[in-house]
Amino acid sequence: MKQLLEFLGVRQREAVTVLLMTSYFFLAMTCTSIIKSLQSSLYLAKLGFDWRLPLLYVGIAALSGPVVLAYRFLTRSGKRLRLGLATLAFFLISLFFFYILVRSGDPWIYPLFYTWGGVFTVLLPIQGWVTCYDLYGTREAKRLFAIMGGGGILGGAFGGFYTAGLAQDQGNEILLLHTCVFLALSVVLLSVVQTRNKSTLVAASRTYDRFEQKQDGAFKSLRQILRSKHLRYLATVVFITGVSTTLIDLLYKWSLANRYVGSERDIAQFFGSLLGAMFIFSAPLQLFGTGRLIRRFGVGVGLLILPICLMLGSIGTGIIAAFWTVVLLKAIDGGLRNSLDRTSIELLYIPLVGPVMASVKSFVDLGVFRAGDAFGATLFLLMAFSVATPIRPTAFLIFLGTIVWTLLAWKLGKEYVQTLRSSLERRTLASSRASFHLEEAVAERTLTNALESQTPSNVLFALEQLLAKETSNGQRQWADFPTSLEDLSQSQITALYPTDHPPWLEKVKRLVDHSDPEIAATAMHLATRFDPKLYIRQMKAELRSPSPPPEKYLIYLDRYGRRVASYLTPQRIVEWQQQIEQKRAVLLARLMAKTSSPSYLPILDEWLNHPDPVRINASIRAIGDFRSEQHIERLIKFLDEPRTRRAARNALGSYGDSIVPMLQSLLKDPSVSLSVKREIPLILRSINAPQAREALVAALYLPDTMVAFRALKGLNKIRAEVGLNYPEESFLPAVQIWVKQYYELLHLSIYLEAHGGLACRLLGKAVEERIAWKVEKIFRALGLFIPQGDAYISYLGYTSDQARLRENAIELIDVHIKGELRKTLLPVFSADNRKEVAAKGRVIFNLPIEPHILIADVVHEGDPWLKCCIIAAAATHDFEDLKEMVRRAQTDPNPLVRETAVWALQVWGNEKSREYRC
Amino acid sequence: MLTTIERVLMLQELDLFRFATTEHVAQFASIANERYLEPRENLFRPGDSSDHLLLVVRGRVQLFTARGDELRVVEQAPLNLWEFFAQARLDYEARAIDHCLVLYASTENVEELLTGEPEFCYAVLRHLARLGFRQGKAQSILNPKPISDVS
Repeated sequence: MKQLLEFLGVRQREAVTVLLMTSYFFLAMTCTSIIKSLQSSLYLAKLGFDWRLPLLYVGIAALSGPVVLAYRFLTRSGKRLRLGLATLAFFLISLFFFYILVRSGDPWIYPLFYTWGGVFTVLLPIQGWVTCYDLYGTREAKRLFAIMGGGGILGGAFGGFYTAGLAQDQGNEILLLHTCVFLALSVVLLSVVQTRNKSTLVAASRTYDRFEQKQDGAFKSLRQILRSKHLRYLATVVFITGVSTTLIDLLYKWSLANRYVGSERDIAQFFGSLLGAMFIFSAPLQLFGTGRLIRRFGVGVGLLILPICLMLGSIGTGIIAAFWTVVLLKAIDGGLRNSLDRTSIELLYIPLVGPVMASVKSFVDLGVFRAGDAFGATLFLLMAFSVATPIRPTAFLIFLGTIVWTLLAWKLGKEYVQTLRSSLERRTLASSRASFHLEEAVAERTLTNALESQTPSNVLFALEQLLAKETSNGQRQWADFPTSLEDLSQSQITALYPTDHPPWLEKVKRLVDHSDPEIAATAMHLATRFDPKLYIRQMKAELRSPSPPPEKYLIYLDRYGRRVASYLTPQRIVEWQQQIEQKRAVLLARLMAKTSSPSYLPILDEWLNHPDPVRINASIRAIGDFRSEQHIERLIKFLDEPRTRRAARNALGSYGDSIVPMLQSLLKDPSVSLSVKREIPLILRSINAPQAREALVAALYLPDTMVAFRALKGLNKIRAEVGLNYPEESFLPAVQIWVKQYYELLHLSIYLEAHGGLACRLLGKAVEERIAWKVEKIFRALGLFIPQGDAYISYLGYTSDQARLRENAIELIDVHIKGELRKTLLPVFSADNRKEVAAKGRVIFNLPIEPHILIADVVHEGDPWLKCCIIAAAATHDFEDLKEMVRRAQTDPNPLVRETAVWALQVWGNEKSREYRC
Repeated sequence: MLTTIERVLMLQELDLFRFATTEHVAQFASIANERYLEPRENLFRPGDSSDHLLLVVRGRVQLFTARGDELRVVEQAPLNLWEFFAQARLDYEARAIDHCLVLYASTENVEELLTGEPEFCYAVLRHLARLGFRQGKAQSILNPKPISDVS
């Protein structure tokens, strides 16, 4: 039993519901199959094939509209769960009445029964599918829908042969009574499913109700379809399917009526037998082919098979216009539409949010499909009565229809991926709508008033906005300062700068002397655009003075100044350096870097020894701008210090690709400290040259998890900003390694669950952190080669607490990966039981069962922190198998590992180690 | 002297590091020093500066007000969390109840670690936020403000 469930891809907890739903579909399709045979045979035998039959198709389509509206009204006003059962009960009662009416033999009964059958055969399976949508997410649906659909197909086959057998012996009427029994059983089954899964269904129903309350108007389904590209394609495909299959159906019925004129039993028998045979063909395809085919090639391919086969069939029918070619065409339709095509179409509804799906589905299945029926029937009506034998013209129309169908199905397959993507994006990406939009005149007035605000941040904001406005204004482009402004005549200056002064200028000029240096500098910059002479002259005078200049001039030069070298001299800075505080020192360091003059390097070099870490950091950054060769070694040392790390990183990044070979050799050097190594990927990322990118790819394979992770993050950012031109194969080995490590860690985590104590708890926590990290790394690695952004939104969806989002996230990844990667990676995401995932991983990577070998493998992977935790756990729990490994760890290059190993051997088995066991 | 791993084994039990990764706890352990206290031994007095973050990892410490009233018993928790981050002076006294081990780290080293490891900083901040939220909520339940005060 367990093996059967495994073969079918059904989890143990799902088995009962799947069995019940499969039985429901079996009975529902048995009823559908019988009613389909009966409605055609009764009609064709009693009334024959004439203009009324195609018109009935139009009538059924016309009836579908009110049925959909009534159904939706009932959905809104009543309890959704009860509505399904009430619909089935209605069909049961009406079927019994038809049994009585058909026996009376009045001719008006047959068109009525035919019309009723048209609604019945559509609504009956829908009741089951709607329940399934509430019960299952995308991934579960992909596994289980094929099995349930298989039950339906077997039911269809059974119904067909049942009709054929009973029609010959006992006549058609008794079949109606038998159908009542099957229908009653299906009511019971659906009610059992609903009772067993009440909480899930009620939760889904509540979501549906909330959604419904937000909607209004009678044509919301239509609006939803028009709004969504995915639904537009889906509805068009369903419409064109309706057109093509109705043409096939009517051609088949025309052929049947002409072959068996007036013989009700013969028609019912042939109809039933073909229906049964079609379902028999469908059953193995559905049970063993559909799920695998869709999993292997995707929904897109599943959608294409039926239209292509029908296209070929219509060509055959066009060439050989005979009864049996028409039957073959019908057989293709019946054989594939109920299995592969049906399942593929049903899957297309899954990425939609539950309520949208439920609301649209009844509209598409009944309204749109029946509209296609009506259109097909009208086409047939026009043709059948303009030519004597409609086979060839109909085959031609079917051929045209299937061409359009194929193209639309191909587009729909593509749109399916986009819908998965957007279903994740809608929920995972926060919208940032905080932007500053003002009408031009209102904005300027508001900003001018803000210049008089008592709040410095408001004043600064207003200045910056006015500055941005001025800069973006093409008439007032920033001009370079003339180096010797005094030499310029007033007329020349006036010619350079605008004369039409804005109303806020006076207020800005007053702010140049503001106590806040940031405000003063920004105001000065804005005022200089209109009157440069005064302010620049004042600044120059201050910068020539032996006492340090006011901060506002340094901020001004730092932010807006060009040709800074003409304003500063090294001698002045030497004079000022003892008198200036932290903030001005930082500004001066930046200005020294801006000059690009090596004469400032000795000053910066001296500042590296200053006690103030802020000044040191500013000097480090400035030295980076000089790209001084002699300072590289010192800068690397600064990477080891937490306080100077960031500045050293920035400085080394300024050296560009010339420093890449050196950084690469540092990564490989075992004597270099881990904290230095961990900074190198960040530097390489900031360099962002081809050589640096290659170094980052190589760093993915380094043993330290943080180095590899930072390299990965760097590559992700580079891809997002400028793109990456590496093939998928460049990253596959890394992903495979991480997937394998994921499985190993999972095994270790499961093994540790049985062990208590401080050391095992620490190891367990460290392992869990690494597992979460591996998952992030896998997604990040996927983000390097699958379409940009998909891995990111999938990761957010996967880590969310909403099951449907998780399902869609995995589905989106599933669409993009293939081959060996798919085989190894998907179990990581798809199964929810850790033990099941671990077992799959063990088989895929042939992992050892013995814990000590598994631990040794983890240790071998070289993660120093995990190694420390393992050593601690080994020492406190007397894992004798690991003692040799701990002994070897005494000579490990990592000092923390060495320290832990020495400690572990000291406490091994003694009283002290036992303290950490409890 | 304890090794880093021994300190981590003890520190991991503290609520302060609930959101921190084990590796970050190890980094904290590497900057921490240890102090053993005998029963009834004083760790600090009212008016002492909070220039070290003090964490009781073994044993129990009793806190007293300046007037000698019992405040609370601290076990496997920080002693001066708020004062340390607020850089405020201590206004209570801490005395060991039994043999205690206290790990402590200087302001400079903790700051260095927090600035160098933003994820660790976020983990500590998250704990502080939860703690503050819980305390604030408890306080608002015990001493609800009149509506006029709130407005």
